[in-house]
Amino acid sequence: MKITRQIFGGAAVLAVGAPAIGAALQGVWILALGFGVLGLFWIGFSLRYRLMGLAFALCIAGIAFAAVLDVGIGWLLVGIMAALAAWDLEAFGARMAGVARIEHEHALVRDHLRQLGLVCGAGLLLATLASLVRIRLSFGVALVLASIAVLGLGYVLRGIGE
Amino acid sequence: MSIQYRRKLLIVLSFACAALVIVAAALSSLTMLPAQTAPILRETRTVPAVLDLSWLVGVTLALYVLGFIFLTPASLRRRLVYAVVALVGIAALIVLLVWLAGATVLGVPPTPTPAPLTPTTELLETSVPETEEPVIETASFTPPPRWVGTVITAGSGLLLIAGALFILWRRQTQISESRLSPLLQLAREARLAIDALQGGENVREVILRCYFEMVYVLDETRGIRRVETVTPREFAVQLAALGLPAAPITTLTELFEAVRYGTGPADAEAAKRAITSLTAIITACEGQS
Repeated sequence: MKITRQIFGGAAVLAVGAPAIGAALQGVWILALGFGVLGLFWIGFSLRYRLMGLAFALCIAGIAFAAVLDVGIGWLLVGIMAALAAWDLEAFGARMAGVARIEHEHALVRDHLRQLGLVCGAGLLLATLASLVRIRLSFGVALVLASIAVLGLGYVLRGIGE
Repeated sequence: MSIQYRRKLLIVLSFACAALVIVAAALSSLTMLPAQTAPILRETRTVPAVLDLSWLVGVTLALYVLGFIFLTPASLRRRLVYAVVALVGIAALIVLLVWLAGATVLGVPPTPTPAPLTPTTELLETSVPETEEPVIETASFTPPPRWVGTVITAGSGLLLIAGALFILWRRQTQISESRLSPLLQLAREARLAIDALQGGENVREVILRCYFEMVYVLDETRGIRRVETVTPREFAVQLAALGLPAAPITTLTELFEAVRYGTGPADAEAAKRAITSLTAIITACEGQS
Protein backbone atom coordinates (compact mmCIF):
# COMPACT_ATOMS: atom_id res chain seq x y z
CA MET A 1 0.00 0.00 0.00
CA LYS A 2 2.86 2.31 0.74
CA ILE A 3 4.31 2.00 -2.70
CA THR A 4 0.86 2.62 -4.20
CA ARG A 5 0.58 5.88 -2.25
CA GLN A 6 4.06 6.90 -3.27
CA ILE A 7 3.44 6.25 -6.94
CA PHE A 8 0.08 7.99 -6.70
CA GLY A 9 1.79 11.06 -5.24
CA GLY A 10 4.37 11.04 -8.01
CA ALA A 11 1.72 10.63 -10.68
CA ALA A 12 -0.38 13.45 -9.22
CA VAL A 13 2.64 15.75 -9.12
CA LEU A 14 3.42 14.88 -12.72
CA ALA A 15 -0.22 15.28 -13.73
CA VAL A 16 -0.32 18.89 -12.59
CA GLY A 17 3.38 19.68 -12.90
CA ALA A 18 3.90 18.91 -16.57
CA PRO A 19 0.99 21.04 -17.82
CA ALA A 20 2.00 23.76 -15.34
CA ILE A 21 5.50 23.86 -16.81
CA GLY A 22 4.08 23.95 -20.32
CA ALA A 23 1.73 26.77 -19.37
CA ALA A 24 4.55 28.69 -17.71
CA LEU A 25 6.73 28.31 -20.80
CA GLN A 26 3.84 29.63 -22.87
CA GLY A 27 3.53 32.58 -20.50
CA VAL A 28 0.10 31.62 -19.11
CA TRP A 29 1.06 32.05 -15.48
CA ILE A 30 -2.45 31.99 -14.11
CA LEU A 31 -3.02 28.51 -15.54
CA ALA A 32 0.29 27.30 -14.13
CA LEU A 33 -0.77 28.64 -10.75
CA GLY A 34 -4.12 26.92 -11.11
CA PHE A 35 -2.42 23.60 -11.76
CA GLY A 36 -0.29 24.13 -8.68
CA VAL A 37 -3.33 24.76 -6.50
CA LEU A 38 -5.05 21.72 -7.98
CA GLY A 39 -2.02 19.59 -7.20
CA LEU A 40 -2.01 20.67 -3.57
CA PHE A 41 -5.73 20.06 -3.39
CA TRP A 42 -5.45 16.61 -4.98
CA ILE A 43 -2.53 15.30 -2.99
CA GLY A 44 -3.45 16.98 0.26
CA PHE A 45 -7.03 15.79 0.44
CA SER A 46 -6.96 12.49 -1.38
CA LEU A 47 -5.94 10.52 1.70
CA ARG A 48 -8.76 11.94 3.79
CA TYR A 49 -11.57 12.16 1.27
CA ARG A 50 -12.32 10.39 -1.96
CA LEU A 51 -11.89 13.07 -4.58
CA MET A 52 -11.05 10.80 -7.45
CA GLY A 53 -13.63 12.09 -9.88
CA LEU A 54 -13.47 15.78 -9.02
CA ALA A 55 -9.69 16.25 -9.01
CA PHE A 56 -9.26 14.17 -12.13
CA ALA A 57 -12.00 16.04 -13.95
CA LEU A 58 -10.50 19.39 -12.97
CA CYS A 59 -7.08 18.26 -14.13
CA ILE A 60 -8.39 17.07 -17.50
CA ALA A 61 -10.40 20.27 -17.93
CA GLY A 62 -7.27 22.32 -17.21
CA ILE A 63 -5.27 20.30 -19.72
CA ALA A 64 -7.98 20.77 -22.35
CA PHE A 65 -7.94 24.50 -21.66
CA ALA A 66 -4.16 24.49 -21.97
CA ALA A 67 -4.47 22.78 -25.34
CA VAL A 68 -6.67 25.63 -26.52
CA LEU A 69 -3.96 28.06 -25.42
CA ASP A 70 -1.37 26.24 -27.59
CA VAL A 71 0.63 24.85 -24.70
CA GLY A 72 3.19 22.29 -25.88
CA ILE A 73 1.50 19.01 -26.67
CA GLY A 74 4.24 16.96 -25.02
CA TRP A 75 3.61 18.50 -21.61
CA LEU A 76 -0.10 17.89 -21.98
CA LEU A 77 0.29 14.26 -23.05
CA VAL A 78 2.48 13.52 -20.06
CA GLY A 79 0.01 15.34 -17.85
CA ILE A 80 -2.98 13.38 -19.14
CA MET A 81 -1.20 10.07 -18.79
CA ALA A 82 -0.07 10.87 -15.26
CA ALA A 83 -3.56 12.08 -14.34
CA LEU A 84 -5.05 8.80 -15.55
CA ALA A 85 -2.48 6.86 -13.56
CA ALA A 86 -3.13 8.92 -10.42
CA TRP A 87 -6.88 8.49 -10.82
CA ASP A 88 -6.52 4.74 -11.19
CA LEU A 89 -4.13 4.43 -8.28
CA GLU A 90 -6.38 6.47 -6.03
CA ALA A 91 -9.32 4.21 -6.86
CA PHE A 92 -7.14 1.13 -6.45
CA GLY A 93 -5.96 2.35 -3.06
CA ALA A 94 -9.53 3.03 -1.98
CA ARG A 95 -10.60 -0.49 -2.96
CA MET A 96 -7.67 -2.01 -1.14
CA ALA A 97 -8.33 0.06 1.95
CA GLY A 98 -11.90 -1.23 2.07
CA VAL A 99 -10.81 -4.84 2.49
CA ALA A 100 -9.92 -6.10 5.92
CA ARG A 101 -7.39 -8.71 4.87
CA ILE A 102 -5.88 -9.16 1.44
CA GLU A 103 -4.24 -12.36 0.39
CA HIS A 104 -1.09 -11.98 -1.69
CA GLU A 105 -1.28 -8.23 -1.40
CA HIS A 106 2.24 -7.68 -2.64
CA ALA A 107 1.67 -9.73 -5.78
CA LEU A 108 -1.66 -8.02 -6.40
CA VAL A 109 -0.13 -4.55 -6.13
CA ARG A 110 2.80 -5.57 -8.30
CA ASP A 111 0.53 -6.95 -11.03
CA HIS A 112 -1.66 -3.88 -10.96
CA LEU A 113 1.29 -1.52 -11.20
CA ARG A 114 2.79 -3.54 -14.02
CA GLN A 115 -0.44 -3.47 -16.01
CA LEU A 116 -0.94 0.21 -15.29
CA GLY A 117 2.57 0.97 -16.48
CA LEU A 118 1.98 -1.05 -19.62
CA VAL A 119 -1.27 0.75 -20.39
CA CYS A 120 0.23 4.18 -19.67
CA GLY A 121 3.27 3.45 -21.81
CA ALA A 122 1.19 2.19 -24.72
CA GLY A 123 -1.21 5.11 -24.39
CA LEU A 124 1.61 7.64 -24.33
CA LEU A 125 3.21 6.00 -27.35
CA LEU A 126 -0.01 6.00 -29.35
CA ALA A 127 -0.84 9.58 -28.35
CA THR A 128 2.64 10.75 -29.33
CA LEU A 129 2.30 8.92 -32.63
CA ALA A 130 -1.05 10.55 -33.28
CA SER A 131 0.32 13.98 -32.46
CA LEU A 132 3.29 13.58 -34.81
CA VAL A 133 1.59 12.02 -37.82
CA ARG A 134 -0.47 14.18 -40.15
CA ILE A 135 -3.19 12.51 -42.18
CA ARG A 136 -5.94 14.02 -44.27
CA LEU A 137 -9.13 11.99 -44.36
CA SER A 138 -12.42 12.44 -46.11
CA PHE A 139 -15.52 12.80 -44.01
CA GLY A 140 -16.80 9.34 -44.85
CA VAL A 141 -13.57 7.60 -43.91
CA ALA A 142 -13.28 9.59 -40.69
CA LEU A 143 -16.87 8.70 -39.85
CA VAL A 144 -16.26 5.00 -40.41
CA LEU A 145 -13.04 5.05 -38.38
CA ALA A 146 -14.65 6.96 -35.54
CA SER A 147 -17.53 4.48 -35.56
CA ILE A 148 -15.09 1.59 -35.43
CA ALA A 149 -13.31 3.21 -32.50
CA VAL A 150 -16.51 3.93 -30.59
CA LEU A 151 -18.08 0.53 -31.24
CA GLY A 152 -14.85 -1.32 -30.53
CA LEU A 153 -14.10 0.47 -27.29
CA GLY A 154 -17.70 0.10 -26.18
CA TYR A 155 -17.56 -3.62 -26.89
CA VAL A 156 -14.30 -4.02 -24.99
CA LEU A 157 -15.57 -2.06 -22.00
CA ARG A 158 -18.75 -4.10 -21.89
CA GLY A 159 -16.74 -7.31 -22.14
CA ILE A 160 -14.49 -6.29 -19.29
CA GLY A 161 -17.49 -5.26 -17.23
CA GLU A 162 -19.10 -8.65 -17.69
CA MET B 1 -13.35 -14.69 -18.96
CA SER B 2 -12.19 -17.36 -21.38
CA ILE B 3 -8.97 -17.19 -23.32
CA GLN B 4 -10.78 -17.01 -26.64
CA TYR B 5 -12.95 -14.17 -25.44
CA ARG B 6 -9.93 -12.36 -24.07
CA ARG B 7 -8.15 -12.70 -27.41
CA LYS B 8 -11.23 -11.42 -29.18
CA LEU B 9 -11.34 -8.40 -26.88
CA LEU B 10 -7.67 -7.77 -27.54
CA ILE B 11 -8.18 -7.87 -31.32
CA VAL B 12 -11.16 -5.53 -31.12
CA LEU B 13 -9.21 -3.21 -28.84
CA SER B 14 -6.32 -3.15 -31.30
CA PHE B 15 -8.59 -2.19 -34.18
CA ALA B 16 -10.32 0.45 -32.08
CA CYS B 17 -7.01 1.96 -30.96
CA ALA B 18 -5.68 1.99 -34.52
CA ALA B 19 -8.83 3.72 -35.75
CA LEU B 20 -8.63 6.19 -32.89
CA VAL B 21 -5.00 7.02 -33.64
CA ILE B 22 -5.73 7.55 -37.33
CA VAL B 23 -8.70 9.80 -36.57
CA ALA B 24 -6.63 11.71 -34.00
CA ALA B 25 -3.85 12.16 -36.52
CA ALA B 26 -6.33 13.54 -39.01
CA LEU B 27 -7.84 16.02 -36.55
CA SER B 28 -5.03 18.52 -37.06
CA SER B 29 -5.88 18.80 -40.74
CA LEU B 30 -9.58 19.17 -40.08
CA THR B 31 -10.99 22.15 -41.94
CA MET B 32 -14.50 23.46 -41.77
CA LEU B 33 -15.81 24.42 -45.19
CA PRO B 34 -18.77 26.66 -45.87
CA ALA B 35 -22.06 24.90 -46.34
CA GLN B 36 -22.88 23.59 -49.78
CA THR B 37 -26.02 22.31 -51.33
CA ALA B 38 -26.00 18.56 -51.38
CA PRO B 39 -25.41 17.04 -54.79
CA ILE B 40 -28.79 15.39 -54.65
CA LEU B 41 -30.49 18.78 -54.55
CA ARG B 42 -28.45 20.14 -57.42
CA GLU B 43 -29.34 17.34 -59.73
CA THR B 44 -32.24 17.86 -62.01
CA ARG B 45 -32.71 14.19 -62.69
CA THR B 46 -33.60 11.59 -60.15
CA VAL B 47 -31.43 8.69 -61.29
CA PRO B 48 -28.08 10.41 -60.64
CA ALA B 49 -29.45 11.61 -57.32
CA VAL B 50 -29.88 8.02 -56.20
CA LEU B 51 -26.43 7.13 -57.47
CA ASP B 52 -24.92 9.95 -55.39
CA LEU B 53 -26.22 8.23 -52.27
CA SER B 54 -23.89 5.29 -52.82
CA TRP B 55 -21.42 6.57 -50.23
CA LEU B 56 -24.21 6.93 -47.68
CA VAL B 57 -25.41 3.42 -48.37
CA GLY B 58 -21.86 2.13 -48.12
CA VAL B 59 -21.23 3.76 -44.75
CA THR B 60 -24.57 2.54 -43.43
CA LEU B 61 -23.92 -1.01 -44.54
CA ALA B 62 -20.44 -0.93 -43.05
CA LEU B 63 -21.88 0.21 -39.73
CA TYR B 64 -24.42 -2.59 -39.87
CA VAL B 65 -21.73 -5.17 -40.47
CA LEU B 66 -19.53 -3.78 -37.70
CA GLY B 67 -22.44 -3.65 -35.31
CA PHE B 68 -23.33 -7.20 -36.21
CA ILE B 69 -19.83 -8.42 -35.55
CA PHE B 70 -18.91 -6.43 -32.46
CA LEU B 71 -22.12 -5.93 -30.55
CA THR B 72 -23.65 -9.37 -30.78
CA PRO B 73 -22.73 -12.17 -28.41
CA ALA B 74 -22.14 -15.47 -30.12
CA SER B 75 -25.22 -16.99 -28.54
CA LEU B 76 -27.49 -14.34 -30.06
CA ARG B 77 -25.72 -13.90 -33.38
CA ARG B 78 -27.89 -16.24 -35.39
CA ARG B 79 -31.10 -14.80 -34.06
CA LEU B 80 -29.98 -11.28 -34.76
CA VAL B 81 -30.15 -11.95 -38.47
CA TYR B 82 -33.76 -10.83 -38.21
CA ALA B 83 -32.59 -7.53 -36.78
CA VAL B 84 -30.13 -7.08 -39.63
CA VAL B 85 -32.90 -7.68 -42.11
CA ALA B 86 -34.94 -5.02 -40.35
CA LEU B 87 -32.02 -2.60 -40.46
CA VAL B 88 -31.54 -3.20 -44.16
CA GLY B 89 -35.21 -2.47 -44.58
CA ILE B 90 -34.81 0.80 -42.69
CA ALA B 91 -31.85 1.72 -44.87
CA ALA B 92 -33.87 1.02 -47.99
CA LEU B 93 -36.66 3.13 -46.57
CA ILE B 94 -34.28 6.01 -45.89
CA VAL B 95 -32.92 5.84 -49.42
CA LEU B 96 -36.42 5.76 -50.80
CA LEU B 97 -37.49 8.74 -48.69
CA VAL B 98 -34.44 10.76 -49.69
CA TRP B 99 -35.01 9.86 -53.31
CA LEU B 100 -38.62 10.90 -53.09
CA ALA B 101 -37.69 14.13 -51.29
CA GLY B 102 -35.13 14.90 -53.95
CA ALA B 103 -37.57 14.21 -56.71
CA THR B 104 -40.18 16.38 -55.03
CA VAL B 105 -37.82 19.27 -54.43
CA LEU B 106 -36.33 19.07 -57.87
CA GLY B 107 -39.66 18.66 -59.46
CA VAL B 108 -40.64 22.21 -58.54
CA PRO B 109 -37.73 24.36 -59.53
CA PRO B 110 -38.04 28.09 -59.24
CA THR B 111 -39.61 29.42 -62.36
CA PRO B 112 -37.24 31.86 -63.98
CA THR B 113 -38.88 35.11 -64.88
CA PRO B 114 -37.85 36.07 -68.36
CA ALA B 115 -36.61 39.62 -68.42
CA PRO B 116 -36.45 41.70 -71.53
CA LEU B 117 -33.01 41.91 -72.89
CA THR B 118 -31.45 45.31 -72.59
CA PRO B 119 -27.99 46.47 -73.48
CA THR B 120 -27.07 46.33 -69.77
CA THR B 121 -28.11 42.71 -69.34
CA GLU B 122 -26.32 41.78 -72.51
CA LEU B 123 -23.13 43.20 -71.10
CA LEU B 124 -23.66 41.31 -67.86
CA GLU B 125 -24.19 38.06 -69.69
CA THR B 126 -20.94 38.46 -71.54
CA SER B 127 -19.04 39.07 -68.33
CA VAL B 128 -20.42 36.01 -66.53
CA PRO B 129 -17.74 33.33 -66.22
CA GLU B 130 -18.37 29.94 -67.72
CA THR B 131 -18.02 28.17 -64.39
CA GLU B 132 -21.26 29.59 -63.11
CA GLU B 133 -23.93 26.99 -62.66
CA PRO B 134 -26.47 26.80 -65.42
CA VAL B 135 -29.99 27.93 -64.81
CA ILE B 136 -32.24 25.07 -63.84
CA GLU B 137 -34.57 24.20 -66.58
CA THR B 138 -38.26 24.17 -65.99
CA ALA B 139 -39.71 20.72 -65.39
CA SER B 140 -43.26 19.72 -64.92
CA PHE B 141 -44.24 18.56 -61.40
CA THR B 142 -45.34 14.95 -61.32
CA PRO B 143 -46.41 13.76 -57.88
CA PRO B 144 -45.41 10.22 -56.91
CA PRO B 145 -48.00 7.55 -57.50
CA ARG B 146 -50.47 6.88 -54.75
CA TRP B 147 -49.14 3.42 -54.05
CA VAL B 148 -45.78 4.87 -53.01
CA GLY B 149 -47.32 6.64 -50.05
CA THR B 150 -49.25 3.54 -49.12
CA VAL B 151 -46.17 1.36 -49.27
CA ILE B 152 -44.13 3.82 -47.20
CA THR B 153 -46.81 4.13 -44.54
CA ALA B 154 -47.37 0.39 -44.32
CA GLY B 155 -43.65 -0.33 -44.35
CA SER B 156 -42.99 2.19 -41.60
CA GLY B 157 -45.72 0.70 -39.47
CA LEU B 158 -44.45 -2.81 -40.00
CA LEU B 159 -40.91 -1.78 -39.17
CA LEU B 160 -42.04 -0.08 -35.98
CA ILE B 161 -43.96 -3.16 -34.93
CA ALA B 162 -41.01 -5.38 -35.82
CA GLY B 163 -38.66 -3.16 -33.84
CA ALA B 164 -40.91 -3.22 -30.79
CA LEU B 165 -41.23 -7.00 -31.04
CA PHE B 166 -37.48 -7.34 -31.38
CA ILE B 167 -36.85 -5.22 -28.29
CA LEU B 168 -39.35 -7.28 -26.32
CA TRP B 169 -37.78 -10.51 -27.56
CA ARG B 170 -34.31 -9.30 -26.70
CA ARG B 171 -35.36 -8.33 -23.21
CA GLN B 172 -37.08 -11.67 -22.72
CA THR B 173 -33.97 -13.48 -23.91
CA GLN B 174 -31.79 -11.56 -21.50
CA ILE B 175 -34.13 -12.33 -18.64
CA SER B 176 -34.22 -16.01 -19.50
CA GLU B 177 -30.44 -16.08 -19.82
CA SER B 178 -30.05 -14.52 -16.41
CA ARG B 179 -32.29 -17.26 -14.99
CA LEU B 180 -30.04 -20.13 -15.93
CA SER B 181 -30.31 -23.12 -13.74
CA PRO B 182 -27.57 -23.55 -11.13
CA LEU B 183 -26.20 -26.50 -13.02
CA LEU B 184 -25.89 -24.53 -16.24
CA GLN B 185 -24.22 -21.69 -14.38
CA LEU B 186 -21.87 -24.16 -12.79
CA ALA B 187 -21.13 -25.59 -16.24
CA ARG B 188 -20.37 -22.15 -17.56
CA GLU B 189 -17.97 -21.40 -14.71
CA ALA B 190 -16.31 -24.76 -15.14
CA ARG B 191 -15.84 -24.15 -18.86
CA LEU B 192 -14.19 -20.82 -18.14
CA ALA B 193 -11.87 -22.48 -15.67
CA ILE B 194 -10.88 -25.09 -18.25
CA ASP B 195 -10.13 -22.35 -20.77
CA ALA B 196 -7.97 -20.60 -18.21
CA LEU B 197 -6.12 -23.82 -17.38
CA GLN B 198 -5.45 -24.57 -21.03
CA GLY B 199 -4.36 -20.98 -21.52
CA GLY B 200 -1.53 -21.44 -19.08
CA GLU B 201 -3.00 -19.62 -16.11
CA ASN B 202 -1.75 -20.47 -12.65
CA VAL B 203 -3.19 -23.85 -11.67
CA ARG B 204 -3.66 -22.92 -8.04
CA GLU B 205 -5.56 -19.75 -8.83
CA VAL B 206 -7.79 -21.51 -11.32
CA ILE B 207 -8.73 -24.28 -8.93
CA LEU B 208 -9.46 -21.83 -6.13
CA ARG B 209 -11.54 -19.60 -8.38
CA CYS B 210 -13.50 -22.50 -9.79
CA TYR B 211 -14.30 -23.85 -6.38
CA PHE B 212 -15.33 -20.50 -4.87
CA GLU B 213 -17.48 -19.63 -7.89
CA MET B 214 -19.18 -22.98 -7.64
CA VAL B 215 -19.95 -22.21 -3.99
CA TYR B 216 -21.15 -18.73 -4.90
CA VAL B 217 -23.43 -19.90 -7.70
CA LEU B 218 -25.07 -22.52 -5.51
CA ASP B 219 -25.53 -19.97 -2.74
CA GLU B 220 -27.06 -17.34 -5.00
CA THR B 221 -29.35 -19.55 -7.01
CA ARG B 222 -30.31 -22.43 -4.74
CA GLY B 223 -29.65 -21.02 -1.33
CA ILE B 224 -27.18 -23.80 -0.58
CA ARG B 225 -24.74 -22.02 1.63
CA ARG B 226 -21.53 -23.56 2.69
CA VAL B 227 -21.35 -22.44 6.30
CA GLU B 228 -18.04 -22.27 8.07
CA THR B 229 -18.71 -25.39 10.08
CA VAL B 230 -19.13 -27.46 6.90
CA THR B 231 -15.89 -28.79 5.57
CA PRO B 232 -15.22 -28.97 1.83
CA ARG B 233 -15.68 -32.69 1.87
CA GLU B 234 -19.05 -32.44 3.61
CA PHE B 235 -20.06 -29.85 1.07
CA ALA B 236 -19.04 -32.20 -1.71
CA VAL B 237 -21.39 -34.78 -0.28
CA GLN B 238 -24.21 -32.23 -0.39
CA LEU B 239 -23.46 -31.44 -4.03
CA ALA B 240 -23.45 -35.09 -4.91
CA ALA B 241 -26.85 -35.38 -3.26
CA LEU B 242 -28.06 -32.73 -5.71
CA GLY B 243 -27.28 -35.05 -8.58
CA LEU B 244 -23.81 -33.92 -9.49
CA PRO B 245 -21.27 -36.70 -10.13
CA ALA B 246 -19.53 -37.65 -6.93
CA ALA B 247 -16.13 -38.75 -8.24
CA PRO B 248 -15.09 -35.57 -10.07
CA ILE B 249 -16.50 -33.43 -7.26
CA THR B 250 -14.41 -35.34 -4.80
CA THR B 251 -11.35 -34.92 -6.97
CA LEU B 252 -11.95 -31.21 -7.30
CA THR B 253 -12.50 -30.91 -3.59
CA GLU B 254 -9.24 -32.72 -2.92
CA LEU B 255 -7.45 -30.43 -5.33
CA PHE B 256 -9.00 -27.45 -3.61
CA GLU B 257 -7.88 -28.70 -0.23
CA ALA B 258 -4.40 -29.33 -1.54
CA VAL B 259 -3.91 -25.88 -3.01
CA ARG B 260 -5.80 -24.06 -0.27
CA TYR B 261 -4.34 -25.67 2.81
CA GLY B 262 -1.26 -27.40 1.40
CA THR B 263 2.14 -25.86 0.93
CA GLY B 264 3.31 -27.72 -2.17
CA PRO B 265 2.95 -26.15 -5.61
CA ALA B 266 0.26 -27.46 -7.94
CA ASP B 267 1.84 -29.32 -10.83
CA ALA B 268 0.81 -30.29 -14.35
CA GLU B 269 -0.66 -33.54 -13.08
CA ALA B 270 -3.02 -31.61 -10.85
CA ALA B 271 -4.00 -29.49 -13.83
CA LYS B 272 -4.81 -32.61 -15.85
CA ARG B 273 -6.92 -34.02 -13.03
CA ALA B 274 -8.69 -30.70 -12.65
CA ILE B 275 -9.48 -30.57 -16.36
CA THR B 276 -10.74 -34.14 -16.33
CA SER B 277 -12.93 -33.49 -13.30
CA LEU B 278 -14.34 -30.28 -14.64
CA THR B 279 -15.06 -31.89 -18.00
CA ALA B 280 -16.94 -34.66 -16.24
CA ILE B 281 -18.93 -32.11 -14.23
CA ILE B 282 -19.79 -30.21 -17.40
CA THR B 283 -20.89 -33.33 -19.17
CA ALA B 284 -23.04 -34.34 -16.23
CA CYS B 285 -24.55 -30.87 -15.92
CA GLU B 286 -25.38 -30.67 -19.60
CA GLY B 287 -26.81 -34.15 -19.54
CA GLN B 288 -29.06 -33.31 -16.61
CA SER B 289 -30.18 -30.02 -18.10
